[in-house]
Amino acid sequence: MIGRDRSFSILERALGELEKAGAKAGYARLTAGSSELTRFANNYIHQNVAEEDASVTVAAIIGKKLGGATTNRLDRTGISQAARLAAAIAAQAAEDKEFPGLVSEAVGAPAPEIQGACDQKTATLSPASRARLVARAAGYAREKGVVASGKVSSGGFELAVATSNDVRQYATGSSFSAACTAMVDGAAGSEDWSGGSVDALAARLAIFGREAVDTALQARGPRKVDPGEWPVILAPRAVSTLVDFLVYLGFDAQAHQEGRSCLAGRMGTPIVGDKITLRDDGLDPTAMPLPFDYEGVPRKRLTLVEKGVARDLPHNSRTAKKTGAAPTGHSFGPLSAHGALPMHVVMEGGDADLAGMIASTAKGLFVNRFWYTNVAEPTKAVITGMTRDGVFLIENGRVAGPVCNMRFTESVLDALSRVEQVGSEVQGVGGEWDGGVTRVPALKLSAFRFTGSTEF
Amino acid sequence: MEDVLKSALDAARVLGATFAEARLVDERSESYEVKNGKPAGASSAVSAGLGVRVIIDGCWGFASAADVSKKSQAARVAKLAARIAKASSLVRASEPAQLAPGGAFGEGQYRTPVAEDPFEVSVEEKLGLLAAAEKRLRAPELPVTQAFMSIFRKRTHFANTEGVRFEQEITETGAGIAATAVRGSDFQVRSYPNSFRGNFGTAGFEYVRAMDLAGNAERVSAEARQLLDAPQCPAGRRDVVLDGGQLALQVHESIGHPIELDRVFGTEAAYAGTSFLTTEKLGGFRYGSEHVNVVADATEPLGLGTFGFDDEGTPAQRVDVIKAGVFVGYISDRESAARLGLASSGAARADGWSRIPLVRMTNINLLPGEWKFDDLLAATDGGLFLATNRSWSIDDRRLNFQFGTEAAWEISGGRLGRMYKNPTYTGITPEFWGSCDAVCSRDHWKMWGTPNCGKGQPGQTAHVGHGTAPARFRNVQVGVVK
Repeated sequence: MIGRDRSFSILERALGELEKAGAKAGYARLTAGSSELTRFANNYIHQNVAEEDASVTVAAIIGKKLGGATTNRLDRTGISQAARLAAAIAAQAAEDKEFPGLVSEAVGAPAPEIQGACDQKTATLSPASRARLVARAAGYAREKGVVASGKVSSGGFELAVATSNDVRQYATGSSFSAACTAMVDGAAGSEDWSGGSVDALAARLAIFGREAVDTALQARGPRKVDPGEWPVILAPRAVSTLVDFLVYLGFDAQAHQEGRSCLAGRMGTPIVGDKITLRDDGLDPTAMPLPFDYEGVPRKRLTLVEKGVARDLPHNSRTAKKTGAAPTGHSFGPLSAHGALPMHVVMEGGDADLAGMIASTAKGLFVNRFWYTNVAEPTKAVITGMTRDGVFLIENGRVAGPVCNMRFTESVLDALSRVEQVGSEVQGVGGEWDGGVTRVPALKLSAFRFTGSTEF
Repeated sequence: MEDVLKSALDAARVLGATFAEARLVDERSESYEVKNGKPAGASSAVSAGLGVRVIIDGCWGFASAADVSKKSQAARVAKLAARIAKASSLVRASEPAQLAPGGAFGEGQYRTPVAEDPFEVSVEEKLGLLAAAEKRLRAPELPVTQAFMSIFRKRTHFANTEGVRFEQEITETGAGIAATAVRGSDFQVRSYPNSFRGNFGTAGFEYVRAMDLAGNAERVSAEARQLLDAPQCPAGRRDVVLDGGQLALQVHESIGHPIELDRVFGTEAAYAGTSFLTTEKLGGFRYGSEHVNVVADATEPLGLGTFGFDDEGTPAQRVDVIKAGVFVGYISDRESAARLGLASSGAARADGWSRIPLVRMTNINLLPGEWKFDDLLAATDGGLFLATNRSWSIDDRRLNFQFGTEAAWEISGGRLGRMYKNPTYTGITPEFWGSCDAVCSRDHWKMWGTPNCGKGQPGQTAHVGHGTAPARFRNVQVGVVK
């Protein structure tokens, strides 16, 4: 840990060096952390790694010209070199006439510390502790004649922002993730648990690996079914794929302003079924919160979708200025070419349980997970990907057996307009993008479009 | 440098390591973007640190840290790697980690040949070059016009306990332009020379100058707008000719990844997936038609997988992967190669100082055939020409794929005719490569850089290359996204 005082000392030095280099306005951000990851395959640990790093990103602002530099050399020479390089880039850059300036001290008022955001036990979890969790999954897999693979990762981080407008922000946090994929006779199952602390997941970790192994055993001997429109029950991991792509394609204010968002012109109108409510909560202590963004703006809670209606858009200071809105604390920093995106998305749970969803399905498919999903048509939110780690046929309210994996090509907006039931249990899973957590329940959809099949 | 490496290796030995390697890596990059007539990013980054990997009691451990200016810090990193290796032994394999022969040399040096150092070209000139190209893209119905440039340099000092040492400096340069056309919910993109920020190679700034971004901008702009008026690409089974850029990604996803030997052995099962290319297929499996010849070649100039030594110290090599359609070789590191009793193919590559080497592509090249491009079009009447990747997806065993390209053209009367929008095609890997019946000649062959290949946990991004020339595939399922 670098600590609050030393972090600000480094950033003050960076601001001073920027000023010396000719930048009357300056921005500095420190990101630091240590992370360790124990990886297993074939029921043993095969990769086991640790990383410590800290870096400073500076932005030199000369009038309306910007230049940036990042360094992980934090001594006086390293910081000075970064500042001079950023200033040199800014001096030679063309004017960015739409640059709104650094946020004011009032807009970047100190964000309150989130109690519980940094769990010391998780941040400093030992390699032996992670190995014992692996032993639990690998041991169960061996007992059942199954091959288990996966990871257990833990770590802590610090983030600090300082600007020449006297914005000062500092936060710490911790993260934990455990995932297992089990394979037997060509069949597979998986599970994924992510959050801010290892203890919060203790109940699941006590049986780590069982869900993956048991699913793999049930998925043996799949039969091939025809692609086409199927009623589906999607496990939380599959739901998280749909949600992550909806957020990516629909809730970027910059994409709205450029007319390339799938929700351009549709804010305030129904976009999906009325059973869907999506929020962004970057302040929840259980889900790796960040109380402010990379511009130093305190993060606000947003209601992205309320009973099917698109509501709030996240804004950085640039997109906010264009529309007269206020920045929401979702920026990637003044140097980023990207807009602002929700990073702590949670779907509101409903009142259904998985058994009830299955019991109420005459014919359909249960999908555990999607894989290698990519955008096919961005403005229609059409994505394509494969199923993975367990697909099951449901007939007459019962699981009738495993089926082969299939390709889907479907609009997320269309799919989420066909939601019939929402699960009551909301699960945090590692989302589509590394490092994030998306919290979602299981969903039952009246139809979902599969466009290809496999032999496995 | 030598002191730091020696301190790390000495500390590892004292702690019981039967093998250790230390890599000091210093990376530097610059990135520029001009968007809609204004700068959208101009930044630089440096990152340096030490990674130490050890085997103790047959188990692996790795630790890394940024601040290693003192020798005592290097010993501390080695100590953490040793502690982690000992934890690995709590859930160990039945056999200890074995390493195949790697570096057959003592000491070596390599540096990317560079005619014009990209870091010595002024920021003003770089941004000016991009601004001039981006300006020519701008037109009605194009809400986003962009020009990109990235340069990258990685210096590595490596030593291991077997006496292998090398120093290496890799320089990469890349650039591109893109125009986004929007009309209502219709969204189209045209790019040059490739999508997703352009093309990249191990070269100096001469590589960017030769692209002639400005000279191609008006064509790219016009094609982006033409796509708005173009009809949807019709669905059905068609003969298709893929351009080099799309074919590069086809090679990447359906050959490059399946031939990674670590995936075959299941060490990526939980994340990147496995491979259909199980070991009994080596030497006999029909991967494609007789026209399909593929090599993994880290010695081919300009490729993003071109180097002197991989990150285990194994010298760069060219190895056969597919000969006349038959699968003959994996890409491997020392550990995976040992399991087959082979030597490493020199494909152990790490994403910087804080990551371990994994089996990664070098330059996976589809060797050229004999066709002239115009002759191929003339012989493919009624087919489709698909250009520039737009989307990709493939299952975790690398069999069922679906790609989308930016544009397609009907092939009619020996030339490109009507343009279509939203083309996609899908297939099963060996069937698809089995349908290849023509590959264009060396005159049309080019290296394509893929700088965003993801694998591993924690995540690693590899820069890899693919040499391709346009090729024809018969009776492919072309589909329209509805």
